[in-house]
Amino acid sequence: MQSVRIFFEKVGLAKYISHLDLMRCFSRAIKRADIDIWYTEGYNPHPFMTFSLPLSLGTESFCESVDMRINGEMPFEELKERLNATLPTGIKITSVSAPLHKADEICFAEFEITINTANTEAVSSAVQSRINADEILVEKKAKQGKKKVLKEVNIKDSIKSFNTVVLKDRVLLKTVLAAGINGNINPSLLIDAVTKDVRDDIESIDIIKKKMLLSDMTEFI
Amino acid sequence: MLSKQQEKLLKSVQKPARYTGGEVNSVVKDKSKIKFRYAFCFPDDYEIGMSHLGMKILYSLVNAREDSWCERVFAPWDDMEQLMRENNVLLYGLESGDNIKDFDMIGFTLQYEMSYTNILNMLDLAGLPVRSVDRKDLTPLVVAGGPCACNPEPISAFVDLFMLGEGEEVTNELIDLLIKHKEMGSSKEQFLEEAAQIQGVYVPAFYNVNYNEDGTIKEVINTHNAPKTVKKRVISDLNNVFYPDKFVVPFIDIVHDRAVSEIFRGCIRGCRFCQAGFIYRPIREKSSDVANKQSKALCESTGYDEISLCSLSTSDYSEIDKLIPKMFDWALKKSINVSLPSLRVDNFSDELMEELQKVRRSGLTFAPEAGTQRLRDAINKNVTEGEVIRTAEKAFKGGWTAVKLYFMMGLPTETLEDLKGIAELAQTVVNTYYQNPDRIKGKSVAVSISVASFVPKPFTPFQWEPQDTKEMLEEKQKYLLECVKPYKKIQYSYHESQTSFLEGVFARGDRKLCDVIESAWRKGCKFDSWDEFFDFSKWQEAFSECGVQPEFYANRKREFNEILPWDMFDYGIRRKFLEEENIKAHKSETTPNCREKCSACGANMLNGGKCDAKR
Ligand code: SF4
Repeated sequence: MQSVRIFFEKVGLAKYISHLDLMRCFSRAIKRADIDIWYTEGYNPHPFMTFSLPLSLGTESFCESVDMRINGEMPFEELKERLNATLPTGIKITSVSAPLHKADEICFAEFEITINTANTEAVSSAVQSRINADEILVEKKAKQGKKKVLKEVNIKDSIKSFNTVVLKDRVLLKTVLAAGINGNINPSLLIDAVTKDVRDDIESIDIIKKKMLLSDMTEFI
Repeated sequence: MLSKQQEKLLKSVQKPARYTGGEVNSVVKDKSKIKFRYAFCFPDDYEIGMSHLGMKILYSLVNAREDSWCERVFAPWDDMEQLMRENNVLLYGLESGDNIKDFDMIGFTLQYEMSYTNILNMLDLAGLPVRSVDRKDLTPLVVAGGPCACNPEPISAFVDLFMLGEGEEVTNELIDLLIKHKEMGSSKEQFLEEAAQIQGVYVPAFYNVNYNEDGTIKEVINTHNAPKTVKKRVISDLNNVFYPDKFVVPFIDIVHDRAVSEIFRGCIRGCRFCQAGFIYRPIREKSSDVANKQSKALCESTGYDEISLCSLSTSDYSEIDKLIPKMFDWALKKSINVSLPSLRVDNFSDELMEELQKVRRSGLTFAPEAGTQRLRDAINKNVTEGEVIRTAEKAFKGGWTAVKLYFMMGLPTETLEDLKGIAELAQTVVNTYYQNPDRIKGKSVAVSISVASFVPKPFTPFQWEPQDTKEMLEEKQKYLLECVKPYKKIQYSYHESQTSFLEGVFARGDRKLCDVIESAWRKGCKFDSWDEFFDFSKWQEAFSECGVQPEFYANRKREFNEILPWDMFDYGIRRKFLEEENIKAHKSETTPNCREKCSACGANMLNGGKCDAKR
């Protein structure tokens, strides 16, 4: 048995595949590729797969990863090719390797956010002033006993870095946010909060996750 | 490929993957090399439509042609519809993102009557007039097929032509003809005239219906050389007919998310309430080798971990004992689950039972349909109480502990005695469990009964019968509840809403209902089979505005000499045969199943005298 970590992109319309659906999507691709993966034991065996971090619906990514175990041996390159032949458009394996870090070592994720707007100056200055405020409040779903409630939380401390670049028809934001089990910030929550004042100027927003990082800012592999 | 404008909507809808396309095995072609574009529409949501086998077959069949491209279209859910209307996004094909109003043909599959308003809504979302007469151009031609096409009159004003019977051959013939007429620059009428000559094609505009004063049909006059009766299509050789080796594999969870292998068409049983049992005759089987090969290919191309056999009654398949071991042979090795719906365990060999126990299985279902032998005889459900019990015994021995029993309420000749019988039969099954000495100690049995209300359908022996009124059904339901109360192990569920009344109206309706359907749709009716959308008061308004009495269609008894709206269609079954079956029903006389004895229903004549019931 061989443990493998598979890095993949999830781009284009594939960003609308939810996390749950992605598991099913992978297990079918694996079956189509005739790869003999290890099943969990017990009454209801299912293919064993763990994704490093869930990606929110509508966000693209260049750096997703899933771990699984292969019965027998298969060269990494062959695994990659076989899977790429059976995965749907938009999901592409970029590399296969033996896992080095543990998923819970992930501390940050880097995002590139494109705000498409005709009013680039207004948008960027509105974003700047929100970002520089002492508090950035977002509404987060939380559990209170059994009830689900919306709670306001300040995420200012979860923002490691934040840059704004103004282009002709869009504003580019580059940001590194807390990610992983010790606090995970959904970039769309942040964007909602910092674009509050200029909502009507915005045509659309695209978010791409570019890197998963460890506490020392090196890449998760 | 979606446009920016289309994609923008996806960010604010639930389950956006319903609208993206791009699923594995979906077919994308080079537009410049295509002569014919077809939008195959399922008038319900993605999850239901994607589960439908007929759509998968025809999708692949059309896409197997080099000159044609077939795309899938489903009814957008409410949230998406709103956004589409607000942003002027028209209904598009999932594969190309192109507006379907620019396609050559738009086809709807008619699986249940309660989807009719969705057809109008989808045409409207496509940016097309809903009425056939208001669509002057040859293309897009709006066509429809499927089981409800056996009486399409209530929607005949909206659809240009209907395909009766099985679609594999007639679809290709229509496409060829439409390509030819497009190239000739024909008018819509010129095309339809020639199309009406194809067997199985019904062009409603070429038939004038005159009515008697009491609202019944006086006569139907065919024009434009259209045939007086339209004969349905049947595929004669299932082993050689097209069957897809790929299914589109959805991203989101759909109702039936698995590979499906069709093993035979038609049914040997002849239950008198069951429309499917008549309209799909004669019986034609696939060989177990072909079915096995097709199943394997499908599993390989889809990556599904489940394959289900599809037919009206799995255990009546004459090669079931051969097929199951063949399939298990490769399926188990690949952790693929073989599921066998509509299974009757009673006629299974012990070896087969053993095989079945190797795979996971859900609860066992069984459909006695009626509570007493007398009523079961009347509906020709040839199942005895003894058989129910033997089946239950066998199932309990095989380790099942949950049994679900299906019944109907409102069947012709039904009395309170028959309803009481439902409760008693269910209790007998409970008792059977506790009489099994090998039962797992401490494990309780779960017997649930599910009761649906009976809706009389065309081309069945009950096509002349009145449907029970809402009041009658409510009375009966109350009574049955009383009967079930003392039995603690029985769970009872009843599905009754005004939908079955409307279903009854449309199933046996005529052209006068077109106005009603349009009016109801304009008032906002859509997704009528969904409780959260169904609004009976709007329908009532529509009926009264159009001066149509729904009871005339649902609750009225017809005489044998009345001209029925579907009498101009030939589904192979002799009308006289249905009349005789009706008379026998009222005398509680049974008719043997087709494997025991052919009752000369006439359907074999559609297939050159051949019927696989007898082999
Ligand atoms: S032809 Fe005979 S055997 Fe075949 S379906 Fe009709 S009655 Fe049954």
